[in-house]
Formats: sequence, C-alpha cells, structure tokens
Amino acid sequence: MSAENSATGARTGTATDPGPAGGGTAQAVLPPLHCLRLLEPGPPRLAALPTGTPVWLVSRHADVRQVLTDPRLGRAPLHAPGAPPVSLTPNLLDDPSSMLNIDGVEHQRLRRTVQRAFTPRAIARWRPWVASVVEGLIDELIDRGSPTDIVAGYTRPLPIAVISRLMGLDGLDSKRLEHWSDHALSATAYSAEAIRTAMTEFAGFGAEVIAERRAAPGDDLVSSLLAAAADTPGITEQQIVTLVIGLVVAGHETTMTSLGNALVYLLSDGHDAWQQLASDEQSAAAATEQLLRAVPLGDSDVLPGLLRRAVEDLDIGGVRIPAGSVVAADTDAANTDPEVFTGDLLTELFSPLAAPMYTFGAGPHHCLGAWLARMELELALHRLARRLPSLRLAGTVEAIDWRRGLLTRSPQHLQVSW
Amino acid sequence: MTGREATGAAPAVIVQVDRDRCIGSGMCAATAPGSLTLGADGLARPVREQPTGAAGEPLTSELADAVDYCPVEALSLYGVRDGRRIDPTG
Ligand code: HEM
Ligand code: HEM
Ligand code: SF4
Repeated sequence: MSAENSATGARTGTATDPGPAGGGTAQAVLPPLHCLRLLEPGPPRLAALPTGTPVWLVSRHADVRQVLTDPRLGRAPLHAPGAPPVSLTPNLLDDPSSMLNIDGVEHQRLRRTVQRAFTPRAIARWRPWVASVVEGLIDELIDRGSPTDIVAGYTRPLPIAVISRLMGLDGLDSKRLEHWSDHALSATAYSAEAIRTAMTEFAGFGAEVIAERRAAPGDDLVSSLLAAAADTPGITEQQIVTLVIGLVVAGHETTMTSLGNALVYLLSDGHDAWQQLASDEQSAAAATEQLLRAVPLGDSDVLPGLLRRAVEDLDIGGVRIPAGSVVAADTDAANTDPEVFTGDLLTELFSPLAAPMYTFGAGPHHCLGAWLARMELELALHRLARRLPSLRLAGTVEAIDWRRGLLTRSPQHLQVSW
Repeated sequence: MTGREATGAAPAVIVQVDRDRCIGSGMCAATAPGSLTLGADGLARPVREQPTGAAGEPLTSELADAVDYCPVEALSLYGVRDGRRIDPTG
C-alpha cells in the first residue's frame, strides 16, 4: 500500500541502489542524512502512512507552522476512540497519558509543571556541568586511543549522562537508563516482549526515584517537578511517572541522532568547517542551529512528519482539509523550503537562520528540551573540535552501519581516528 | 506557581512580543488571557496594542507568570514611566 506513495518514496535518496558495502548481505547503501532528497515543498497532498491510513502531507514553511500552531489540529484526537491507526508497532509515543498526547488546558497544566526548568535562562545555568560531562567523555575517548567508535564513546552516552545529572540520579544508573531508553526507542532491534519488560522495569525505577525525592527533596529536576505537580490539581501519578522517565527517553534518541549525523557530515562533506567550530562558542552555536535545520533526524518512510488530526474542517495552504483527517507536518521539507532558505549548508554554516526552523516543532508541543539539546550539541561539537582538531573518519560514509529507529536513523558505530 | 504578589499598586507595563522568537505555544494566552492572545498567524500578540505614550496595563501575577513560562523567552515587559525593561523574576 505504501510502496508507491509520496510519503515513502520521496525521501530515501539512493536507498534502492545496490550497495558495494553490504557486508555479504543484500542490504542497500543508505545515503547519509545530510544528503537525503527531501520532499519538494508544495500544497498539502494526500498520501498514506505505512498503516494504510490516508495522511495529508504538509511541506511548505508557512503551512507547517500553521499545522503545529492551529488549535483545530491536535495530538489527542490521534488517540481518540475510532481514530485510524498511525503506527505499525505500538510504542509509548502513543501512550495517551504522555504530555505529547494531550491537548489544550490539560496539556498546559502538565507542561507548566516542567516548563520553568527548561526556559533558555534556566538551562543556561546548567552550562558549566554540561561542559564538564562533555569534557569527561572526551577524556575517556582520548584514553581509549585512536581509532575508536565515537558513537559508543560519545554520542550515545552524552544525553543520558546529562539528563541523569539534571535529575540528580546516581552515576551508576546510567547503564540501566541507556538500556531502557534503547529498548524504548529502537523499534527494530528488540522484540515486543523485550520492550515491554524494559518499560515495566523503567516505570518501576521512575516510581522509586519519585518516592525517594518525595521523602528527601533536593534541588534536582525531579524534586522541582514534584513540587510543581503538588501545587497543580488534577495531575495523576501515572502522568508524573511518564513525565520523569519520558524526560530520559525523549532526549536520548533525538540528541544522539542529531549529534551522530552532524558528525557524519562534519567529518565528510563538511570537513572544512571543523577548524572554525573549535574557534569559539558563538560559531558552534550558529552551526548547531544550521545543522539542526538542515540534517534530518531520519527517513520518512515510517512517519512522514509530526502528526496531528483535524477536529474540524479547515484550510491549509489553500486546500480544504476535512475534520478527522490525519495531517503530517514535514518539518524537514519546511526546513529546506527554497522560498525561505536559499543558501547551501556549508557556506551558511556559521550564519544566522533566515527564518525559524521546525526541528523542535512549534506551537503547544514545541520541544520542552530544545534549549538543553541545543546546549548539549553546541558544547559537544565545540569541545570535540577543540580537543581533537585532526579528527577524521576511519572508514567511508558508504560503509556506515545505520541504526534505524521508528523515526530516526543514525550511525550504529562510527570509527574515527586522530 | 503563584506568581509574585504585587506590593501596593502594580506598576504599569507595556508587553512586547518578539515575533521572530515566538513559536506559538499559546502558553502566554492561556496564562494571562487578559494580556496576551494568539493571532490568526499562530503567533502571540498583546490584547491591547499600546501606542507609545499609552497608560500601559497593570503587572498582574498572571502576566508575570506568562513571561516566565514562555518556552522561548519571547515576551518582555517595559515600565511605562521609565521605559526600562522589567524582569519579573528579578
Ligand atoms: C536534538 C534533540 C531533540 C529533538 C530534535 C527534539 C524534537 C522534538 C519535537 C519535534 C517535538 C514535538 C513533537 C510534536 O509536535 O509532535 C518534541 C517534543 C518534546 N521533547 Fe524534544 N527533541 C529533542 C531533545 C529533547 C530533550 C533533550 C528533551 C528532554 C529533556 C526533550 C523532551 C521533549 C518533550 C517532553 C516533548 C513533548 C512536549 C509536549 O508535548 O508539550 N526533547 N521534541
Ligand atoms: C517510557 C516512555 C516512552 C517511550 C517508550 C517512548 C517511545 C518513543 C518512541 C518509540 C519514539 C520514536 C523514536 C524513533 O524515532 O525511533 C519516541 C520519540 C519521541 N518521544 Fe517518546 N517515548 C516515551 C516517553 C515519552 C514522553 C513522556 C515524551 C514527552 C512527553 C516523549 C516524547 C518523544 C518525542 C518528542 C519523540 C520524537 C519524535 C516525535 O515527535 O514523534 N516520549 N518515543
Ligand atoms: S508563550 Fe512565548 S512562544 Fe508561546 S505564544 Fe506566547 S510568546 Fe509565543
């Protein structure tokens, strides 16, 4: 059903070319993410999700903003009784108690319990120790010696190390958190049974941490979240548990993926920029914005964009969308819409964005962790370029073994040398 | 979550939305509906567009909260009398 629709066909670049580096298997060589051919922006067009459910693909910059901010489109209606299926593998993204899946006043109430801890100013306070986590990982990388796998040693452990420090978790928990998050997010690598077991354990762990912090509050994120929740009527215990463990999960796959794919670009086609990344933090901050904008997190053959469902009839970009329709905001297409973004990535890498990017979404569900993710990426790139100015890929881009999540694709391993 | 209690008469302020930063979360309109609303373009704007030299509006605790909760810090407050930026968390 989905093989010929534009949701699945438009974005895989050279994925169907037979690859020279299949390692004995018939696996095709996937292009690196910065080389994907994105959907040509145009008016909303009808396609189908892998489940067969019809979906309106929205791709122009202005239309994507409308989809994400218009109150006539919501997340909750995607999970209402009788809603058409949108994902093949059930996962906790579909958990109706999660912040992502409620709308309106109920969403705002839950979001307010954590929002104050995630504003740009609040996040800026964590900068010194995000930097210390980054430096610690680079020390270990250097100790291990060249060549080494920078995914195992850097891009994968970083987000967990950062969020566990924010939450005041014991360093010993990192391995367990990584294990659970990996299960939560890698739809292809584990069995449904293994995922269920991991999630049950993870929720149990979340409940334990919550009980501990209730008994002995500290100045960590979990304690402040509990204090805010206690002041807010109508928040359920399950929502609090999902929120706490969701903070670990939501930043893990996404941040690891952005950083991994940014490094693939910077150590190949974008290598000319490596030196300037090392020069100062402002350059690294500008480059982080451009990389977040222009390097997609994944292919869109599973999900063509951020999903919403219309609660009433509305017009998007001059096209009538009937109530009940599923709509996908293709943020990758919007982020490279030639009406708005004209330059090429390498020449623009250190320039300010020409218009807002939608990698973190927009509207009520705009990524809670956006400022934390930005800071992590900026520091991770800047400090790595400074400490290892001669860093380069030890293998070829064609030979990269890709880790495929539900929405994401990033290198499973990336051998580098210096 | 309670906001700051105004001591005595609340100072009169003018609210500004940095529309290049605003991502249309709607948090401000939900928190301080008397002061901020979402426009047809999905971005926030003050309920009362204030011409220069206007009387402004009182700095309510809702308005202060709205400024604090904006996920992208797109809102700012200026004192009507001296035009100085007011930091409600300050
Ligand atoms: C590069 C890294 C990241 C990317 C690209 C990213 C992307 C996104 C996007 C696109 C959304 C909106 C989804 C939608 O509208 O359908 C979102 C929401 C969210 N993100 Fe992130 N994210 C990243 C990192 C993080 C981190 C580090 C955290 C946690 C600390 C986090 C926590 C959340 C939460 C809690 C939501 C749900 C917000 C809501 O529904 O109100 N994210 N993220
Ligand atoms: C144990 C709890 C959770 C599990 C198992 C889970 C599972 C997943 C899965 C399978 C994906 C797709 C990732 C991929 O591309 O492979 C995902 C992405 C994501 N999750 Fe979760 N999730 C959990 C909790 C949460 C919570 C509580 C939030 C926010 C409140 C959240 C926010 C996100 C966001 C923003 C994304 C990125 C993509 C999107 O917007 O669709 N997750 N999660
Ligand atoms: S809270 Fe901030 S981002 Fe959200 S609508 Fe208001 S001004 Fe815009």
